[in-house]
Amino acid sequence: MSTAPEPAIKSYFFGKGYADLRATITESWQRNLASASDHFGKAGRLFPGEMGDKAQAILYGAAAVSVVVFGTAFFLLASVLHIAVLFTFFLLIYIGFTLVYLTERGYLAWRQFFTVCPDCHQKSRLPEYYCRRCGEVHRRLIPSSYGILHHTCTCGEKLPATFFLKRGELKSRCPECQNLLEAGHTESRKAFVPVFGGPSVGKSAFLFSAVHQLVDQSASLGFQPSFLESRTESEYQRVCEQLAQGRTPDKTLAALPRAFNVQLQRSGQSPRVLYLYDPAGEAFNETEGMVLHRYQEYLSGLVFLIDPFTLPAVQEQYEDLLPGVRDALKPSSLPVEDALSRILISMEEHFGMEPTARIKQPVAVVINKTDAFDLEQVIGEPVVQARIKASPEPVTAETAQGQIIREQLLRWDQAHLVQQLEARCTRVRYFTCSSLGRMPDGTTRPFEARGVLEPLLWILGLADSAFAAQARKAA
Amino acid sequence: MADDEGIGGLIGALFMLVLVVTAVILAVMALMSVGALFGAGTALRNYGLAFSNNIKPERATT
Repeated sequence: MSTAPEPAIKSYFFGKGYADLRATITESWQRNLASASDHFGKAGRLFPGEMGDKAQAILYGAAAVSVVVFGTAFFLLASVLHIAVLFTFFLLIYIGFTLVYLTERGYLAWRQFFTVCPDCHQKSRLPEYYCRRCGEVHRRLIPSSYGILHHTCTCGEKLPATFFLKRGELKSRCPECQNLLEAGHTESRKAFVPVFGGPSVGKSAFLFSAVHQLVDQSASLGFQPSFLESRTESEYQRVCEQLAQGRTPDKTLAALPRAFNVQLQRSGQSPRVLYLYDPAGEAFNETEGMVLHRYQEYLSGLVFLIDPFTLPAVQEQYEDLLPGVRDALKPSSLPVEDALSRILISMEEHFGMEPTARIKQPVAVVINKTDAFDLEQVIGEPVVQARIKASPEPVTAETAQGQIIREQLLRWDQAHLVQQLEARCTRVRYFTCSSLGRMPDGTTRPFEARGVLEPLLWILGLADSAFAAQARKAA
Repeated sequence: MADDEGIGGLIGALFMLVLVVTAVILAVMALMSVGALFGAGTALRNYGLAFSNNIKPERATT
């Protein structure tokens, strides 16, 4: 807890009151001594004189002694009274701000509100707030000795010191990296979903297509989507335009990029803010470490994106067709097992996870690029529907899809990958998707993704009950 | 007769002396009481002045 002084006026009963008391006692005592000395002086000068002077000398002498005696008694009595008043108010204010603070903490904990910076990914209890008049930074704008409900900035501006008085409307910044934050970065329930995978598996296209589908289907899902920041919205629109013009999204360069935030609001519920991460596949080792290290307290789940064309069996299966489309398909250079191993190693290093322990968060294993060749007929929706129809016992689409993809991975000699996934992850579900919808062919035909939203909704449904119905609906 | 007059004068003189001494003591006591009240008043005024000079809530700088 920082004890640095705030640029605010502290409650009188927590600081200045005691300094004032000390100054009052000191000054009154000095005044008494001065008065006594003055009276003694007069008595000394008058006593040798006539009877009248002697009488005055007696009077002044008695007064001098009385000033010292009664002065001491007065300052003792007045100080006791003064301290009693100060302590009474101190106690009342202390109880007041403690109660308000604990109520606020309890309420925020119940609503699962906390601050996460989309830039440095640091979790904090509270951002730093700017004074709306002078711009001074208030690092602990909470009920405290600076005020129970409001803090008064040194400029005189009254600032709300609690969530209940719309403190979130003040401009705020991250206490770690000092980048500006929006109210939604604090006053919302959050879900954190990084998309992992090797280079060129299609993470950026997956992320933006999933957000695009989420925004498109928000009405049927019962949410009102919005972007917390204009720059996120601009980035989203830019990538959507690229996809609509048949261009693939620009490659992610940052090892640990800024979180892509989408706010989802449902009437009568607190807002939900998604933190989606699309780290560069090249910086895989350090990226996973950084991401997982930062998010270990609040990770909602992982999307593990697989490019099937990194699998030797698939490359062999389509060896006649691949050379012609290699540039368009851009098979990832990182073997799938290596990608998974790196996630697990990072979890062990940064989470302190035992080598035999399991990841508790849901892991969506998503096979991308199913638009290529006849993959859709091998592991896509038609096969799932056929399996459901052919099954002698009722089977859900989720189960059928999981069975089909798992069986196909085994046929593609990925038994070790499947075994690793199922041994090390508590909740695994297999999905297929095409984050572009078709292979890039240089034309301006729009890309229309398939199956990108379901993995995200599945993770969100497990992380937050508000998404559970949406996840079922999407399934 | 003359002895009776001498004793009477002595008693009268002693009485006068006691009277004068008592009056002086009372006068000194009265002066001291007034002085004590004056001193107490001074002490009270001193505390009041010190209180009003020092007890001020903190104000904003602008």
